[in-house]
Amino acid sequence: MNHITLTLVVVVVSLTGLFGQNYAYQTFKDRRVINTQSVETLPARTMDIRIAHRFGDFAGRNGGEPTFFGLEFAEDVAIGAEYGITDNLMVGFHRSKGAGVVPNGPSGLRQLWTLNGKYRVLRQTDLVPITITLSGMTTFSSAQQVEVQPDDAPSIIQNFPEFGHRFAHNVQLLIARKFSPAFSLQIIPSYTHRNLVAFNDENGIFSMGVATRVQISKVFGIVADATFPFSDFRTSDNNFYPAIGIGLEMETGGHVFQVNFTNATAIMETDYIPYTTSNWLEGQYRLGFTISRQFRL
Amino acid sequence: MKALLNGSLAFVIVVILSTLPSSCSSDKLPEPAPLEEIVDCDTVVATYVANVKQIIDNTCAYSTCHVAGSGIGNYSNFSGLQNIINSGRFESRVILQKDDQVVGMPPNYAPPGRPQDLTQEQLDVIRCWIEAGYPES
Repeated sequence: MNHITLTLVVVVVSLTGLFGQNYAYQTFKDRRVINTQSVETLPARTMDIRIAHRFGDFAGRNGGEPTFFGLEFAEDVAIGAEYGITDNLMVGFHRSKGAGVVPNGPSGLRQLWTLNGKYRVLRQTDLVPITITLSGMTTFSSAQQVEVQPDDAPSIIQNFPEFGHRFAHNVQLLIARKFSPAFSLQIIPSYTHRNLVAFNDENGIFSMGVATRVQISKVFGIVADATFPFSDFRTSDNNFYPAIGIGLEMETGGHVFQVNFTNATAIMETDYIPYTTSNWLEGQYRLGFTISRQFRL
Repeated sequence: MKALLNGSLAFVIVVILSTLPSSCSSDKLPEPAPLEEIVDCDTVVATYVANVKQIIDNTCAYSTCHVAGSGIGNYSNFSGLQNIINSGRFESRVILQKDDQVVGMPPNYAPPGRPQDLTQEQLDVIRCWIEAGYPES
């Protein structure tokens, strides 16, 4: 009798263990898809050094041979490090150039210092259908303040009437499912807040993103994502466009290398969600790459 | 190790929370106002041929910048300017946003010997040219 009970206990424990730990690994290979974040967080005590680059317009008015398909320009460059505190919690710090601009209006924040964090709340297993991760980001601009005369009120962001006007924030809920070893899908409800905007612009923006990854061989995967702001102001009539990217991802050990094309000029959420003003259909897409190297500390 | 983890976690949360209250506002810039009218446009001759071309050639359409083959627009002749005039980009970047460090033209990274800002006199000519509807001659 005792023997049977013991056997039962062992079976039940191993079964729950099986269900509890049979996680869906690598829904995405990287912490970012192209423009959007992914549900992935870093393993505990792992540091990820990241470099991302977005060149100038590939085609259209400012692209083609005269600019060597945009390679003569660097629309945005981000360099940063992320660190896994636990397997579910990571923080990151990045410096980027910033690329936002309102059509026929002021430029957005430049010289960006971004602090971000991600916390994985729920992890897909045999019983749990999805992975959910919370993501937050605060961006600070260290750009020089443009001085103005007391009675002059220039309509430029860099005037920074208050110190807080140098900040922008973004929070996201990342919900993903790995449907098969080769196919993952993610949706990204998100809210972006900029403390200072142009006179006809909006401070808070809700947006929805979608992202997917298709593994095509042991090493290569195709990734794609798109972000759609919900806004009456951010329409194609006002020269705003959804940020759409497609890329080829290559994973070799601790490296993830990605080559992509996207119409978004900016890299950070606080920058590309409010400010994607370039249009795929006018050739205003650009070559970009992201390199990620993980170090176990 | 656990204490270290909890410590760093608490530190991160404190840092994030401390930046939030001091850094959240919802402000809008004032509507951009046209340049103050220092001169009366009735007294200023402002056509492309008479004086605007000279300003543009000297401050925009010079080698390495807005000339043929540059990939960033050829502004050395009247037809090359039509796009940016009609889209409003010319007025926006030369007049309304001229103090913006990124989009204001001429730019802060203009090469040595080329102006980073237009003079008041040049701005007056450009403003009067815009008000007159960008006449060629």
